[in-house]
Amino acid sequence: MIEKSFFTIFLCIFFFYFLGDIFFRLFLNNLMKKVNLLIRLSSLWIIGNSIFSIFLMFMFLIRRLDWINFSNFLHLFLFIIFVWIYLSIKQKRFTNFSFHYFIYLILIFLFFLPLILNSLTSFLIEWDAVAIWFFKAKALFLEKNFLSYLKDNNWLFSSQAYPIGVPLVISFYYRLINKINDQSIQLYFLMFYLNLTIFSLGILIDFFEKKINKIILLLAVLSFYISSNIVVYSHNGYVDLVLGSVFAFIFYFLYLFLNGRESKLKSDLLKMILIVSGHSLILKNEAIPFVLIVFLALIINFFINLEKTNRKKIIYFIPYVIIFFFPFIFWQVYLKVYKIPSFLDGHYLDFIKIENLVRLKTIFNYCFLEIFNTNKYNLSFILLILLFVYQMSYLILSQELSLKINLLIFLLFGQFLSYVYVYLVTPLPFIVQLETSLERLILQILPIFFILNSILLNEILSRQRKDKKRPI
Amino acid sequence: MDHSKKKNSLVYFYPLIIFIFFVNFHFYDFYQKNFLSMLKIISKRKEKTLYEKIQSQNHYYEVWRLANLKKNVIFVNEDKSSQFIDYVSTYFLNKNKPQDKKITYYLTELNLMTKYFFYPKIVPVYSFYQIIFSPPLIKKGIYIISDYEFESFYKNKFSENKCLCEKSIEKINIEKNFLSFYQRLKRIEISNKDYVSVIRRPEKTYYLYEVIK
Repeated sequence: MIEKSFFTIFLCIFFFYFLGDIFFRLFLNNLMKKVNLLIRLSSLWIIGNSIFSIFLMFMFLIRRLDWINFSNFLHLFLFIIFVWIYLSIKQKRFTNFSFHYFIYLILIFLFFLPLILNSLTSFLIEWDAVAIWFFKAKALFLEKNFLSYLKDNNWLFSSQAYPIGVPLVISFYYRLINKINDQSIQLYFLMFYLNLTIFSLGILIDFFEKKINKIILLLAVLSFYISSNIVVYSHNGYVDLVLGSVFAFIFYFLYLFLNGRESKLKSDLLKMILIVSGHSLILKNEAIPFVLIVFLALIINFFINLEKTNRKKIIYFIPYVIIFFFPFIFWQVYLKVYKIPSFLDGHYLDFIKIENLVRLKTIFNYCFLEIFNTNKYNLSFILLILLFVYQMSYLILSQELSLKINLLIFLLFGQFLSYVYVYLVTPLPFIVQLETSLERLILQILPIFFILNSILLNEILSRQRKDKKRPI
Repeated sequence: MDHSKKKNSLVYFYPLIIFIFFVNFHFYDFYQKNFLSMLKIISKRKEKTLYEKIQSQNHYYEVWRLANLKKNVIFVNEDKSSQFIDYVSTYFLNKNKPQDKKITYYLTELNLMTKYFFYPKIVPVYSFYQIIFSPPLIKKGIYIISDYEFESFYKNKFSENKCLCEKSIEKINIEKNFLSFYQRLKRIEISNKDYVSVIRRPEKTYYLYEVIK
């Protein structure tokens, strides 16, 4: 008989997909029609997660997490299924299943089956997972008043001020099974990795379907995502690859937005960017600079295309900003009101100190060591770097570097510089922090780098053949 | 030559992509085999629940069991040298004034796992000398989690300390206290784990004692 913990985690996963699909059908219909099955399926996971995480934050805010139990969840799940069937009948569209995409999904599933089984049957041992994310989840599950945990100096090591998006989902699962099970929930982390792989394949197929054999595209994606460091962090309880996946979705949808012409489609893309950005902010603090740069890119694009933009339409997006950014703002206010400090408090301007500036050389040395570490990334990272240099040289020398590409590069490097900034100001032992965290920070931007290279290659090939194909 | 069909130049990259895939897969396969080994191990285990079967392969399984059985434990930690430290975090000297000076706080992996398993219970941490010289701390039924073996630690300290080599009153006092303390303990064996994760650094040895008198 199947374990209840397994049954529940699979139920949760299906729940997120159905929730995402309902939201897509209701609010992102134009986008849904334009992307291929692989991109759509992985986007359902991300959007379902974003909406449910935001919902959990609201439950936390009104102190009603105790309403969560298996029986209530089952009712909610059945309701979601009912709505999904209703919408499917109404829209006369259950799924747009094309057989060859289905085959790729099966292949990916079979390829990663050992990893899936491992995520369900491995114990929790990694430091940050134990000390921060699962520790907080345990506190959210066991404490009637979460503030008592936050105020307790015995748990200072658990970085109490860190966002609670992921711990809330873990504690939600604990409440469903009514006990602590830090093993099977690791599948939840792995789902981000699997969806990221599917998403990346979807992007490559969208770009190069007519130029490169799909099996070769599948091998290219798998080659990249089976690099040791990515596999190690795929389900060990660290949130970095989860955040990396979320960044990848925002990045690609930002590209489509900057590239798009259709007004309705751009509107859906902007909604998608806002929702997933709001979610990223409750995952990890590294999302703050990322979302700020995304907003900056959107503002720059808005002013450059001011004449083409319908300014009145901007008002339609305000509810999305309010709803999906509220949990982040609420958490920041909560920390200030209850005086829960962050380790960077009081150090934000320390980068101007000479003794901190000399850290720059060490930071870049470590970065080079990381990037060219074939133990961690096999040949993938080196090849991507070479491809990037070649493609950028081509675009710069042929004077074909467009605004959208500039903005995407600005986003990637801006995010990287935010990590450099944190290393410059950190009050922790600098070398210790650098050695233990750099590989995880690289993981946050590695999927973006892969997608950026695909975008650049598509731009170059399209221009070379003068049959520029837009993904949408 | 027939030039009617223009060949896609990207085809020439196919062998390279296939080659890279097989190189990367070779390394991934190494993990894959390790991942599947857990399934074989847990199928032979006799623990009641699947969770415990899996947990039995955790290096800190015995600590988890103590937490699961809600036992009273204390943690003895002496070695704070940088070689021994695993997890680094920051403490605030004054939480209400976070801008003030902060101190770096170190935890060993064992201490971290103990805190996690026992949460919300606070496990008191003592030094070796505290437990030797404060017999009331050590009551019957208490379990001691330590990152070093008491007897060898005592011998090392004892031989290192030159002033204690002479038969001083202090030495006699320490010896007497240690022996009376040590006689009350029963060592709990840490079971061998069949599962060895290939994606992780090896864990350090730890020791468990039960106070039986």
